[in-house]
Amino acid sequence: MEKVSGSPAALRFIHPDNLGGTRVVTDASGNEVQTLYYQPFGEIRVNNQVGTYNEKRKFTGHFHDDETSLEYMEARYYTAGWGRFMAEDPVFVAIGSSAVTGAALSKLLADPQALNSYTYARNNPLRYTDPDGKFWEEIGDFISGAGGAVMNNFSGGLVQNTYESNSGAYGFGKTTGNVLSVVAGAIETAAGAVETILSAGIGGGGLAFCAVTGAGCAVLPGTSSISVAGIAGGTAMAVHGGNTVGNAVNNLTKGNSGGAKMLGENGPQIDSSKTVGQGKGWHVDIENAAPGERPGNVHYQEFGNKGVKYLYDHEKNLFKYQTGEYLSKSQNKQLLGNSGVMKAVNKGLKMLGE
Amino acid sequence: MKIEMNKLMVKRLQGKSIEEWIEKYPLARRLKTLLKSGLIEVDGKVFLSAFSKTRGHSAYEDQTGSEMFVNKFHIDNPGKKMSSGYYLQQGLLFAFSLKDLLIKQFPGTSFKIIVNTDEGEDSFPDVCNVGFHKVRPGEFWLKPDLEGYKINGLLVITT
Repeated sequence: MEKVSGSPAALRFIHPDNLGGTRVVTDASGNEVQTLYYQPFGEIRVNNQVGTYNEKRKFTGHFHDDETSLEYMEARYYTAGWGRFMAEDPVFVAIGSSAVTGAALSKLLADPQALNSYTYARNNPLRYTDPDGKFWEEIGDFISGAGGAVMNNFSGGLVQNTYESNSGAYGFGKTTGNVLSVVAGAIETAAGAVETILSAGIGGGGLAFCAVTGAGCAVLPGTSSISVAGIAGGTAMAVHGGNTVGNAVNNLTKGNSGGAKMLGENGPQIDSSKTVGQGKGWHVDIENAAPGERPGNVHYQEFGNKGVKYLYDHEKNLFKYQTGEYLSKSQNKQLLGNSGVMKAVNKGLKMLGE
Repeated sequence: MKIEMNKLMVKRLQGKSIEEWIEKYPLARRLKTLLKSGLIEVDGKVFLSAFSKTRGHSAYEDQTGSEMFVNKFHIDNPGKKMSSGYYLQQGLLFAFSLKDLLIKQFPGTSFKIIVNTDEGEDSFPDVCNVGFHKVRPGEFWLKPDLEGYKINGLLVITT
């Protein structure tokens, strides 16, 4: 939902579709003032206006120029009637320069659909969009991110999405998936609790058996009195729902929108090991006592009865105290600059499955 | 008191009893010093005093994790050739001495003392690690199935 400005006193809200385009516009009271539907390539199919208000942002959220009927997509204008851009993709034009190399160049040249620099969203406007007129973005990234997070949360980490992307859509999808998991988990918990109560006979009625159906047991209020299967199914549902909520909240609070990735999660169980390396007066150890339940760690330790221990933060590439405070810049520089230490650290991370 | 071991530790003990192991050599001077430094309780967590000063007390992930991070240490002496099994012998002797100290200082409180050896492929085979933590409901350091630890010989004393 987005606040938009019309006349100075007007407050209106845009309700977008799955591509980010304007679908419904409402006023401050929640009344619909405009409804829009599009053809796949963006031509306006329906434009119902209540009153005179006409939202300028239309297909995929881009500004629609009423005079030319073109969509302003920042780097280029797009004509929905033809399903083509009015100019070449600047990314395509830059082929041969240092701006387009490596994976980006391979992606362009390996895909026949990308060789026409005037096409819109790889000629697949249901799956891709073009947020800025420079190459397309996969809508599937959002779905994959959201679906992966939900799968991960519901299975307690047993089912994980193997597809990863750095796109904003993917990250947003993951966050959305975690939020959805919280809601769905809470509903499951509540449904499980109700089922348990009904199956325990509190709902009244005669003795009946309920059908066990996958996730639990279907119980009709008033028809069943005591059902062991129902109680067990309901309890299992409630517990599973609680676990799902816990997983999702854990991911959200850790800022780990991409599912419960914990250091050492996929590594072996190791109480403590000094196998990763040692040097004069120091050694680097790893611990992974309970993979997936307690984060594993790689730490630097000095010899001696009072030998210090520093944890290695692999995300920030810094060493820190157990208290969570990072070592001083000079201390970190000294450790990070020690090739023996870092070789051992990297070996440790590899052993932990990173 | 309960003593548990995994198969790797049983193999390491070579059929000798724990008594036979711990009687072989006296406790090394530095380990004696460590024990003499005593135990300290901070916010419900028990630490070896000598380490608590240099490693801080704040929570790691939970109280048990915090205790293990501070209290776990290696017994070895790089550069000095010792007879095979010496460090394990010292680890076992230290663990049982520590057990006595914990019972004396915290009667009625249950602790787990963990002795491990490194059995990884390119490991340092003579190294022995010792650590301990209080037993708390809902928290644990090692998983119950000690056989799940494929590169550690493990002996756990529960007071």
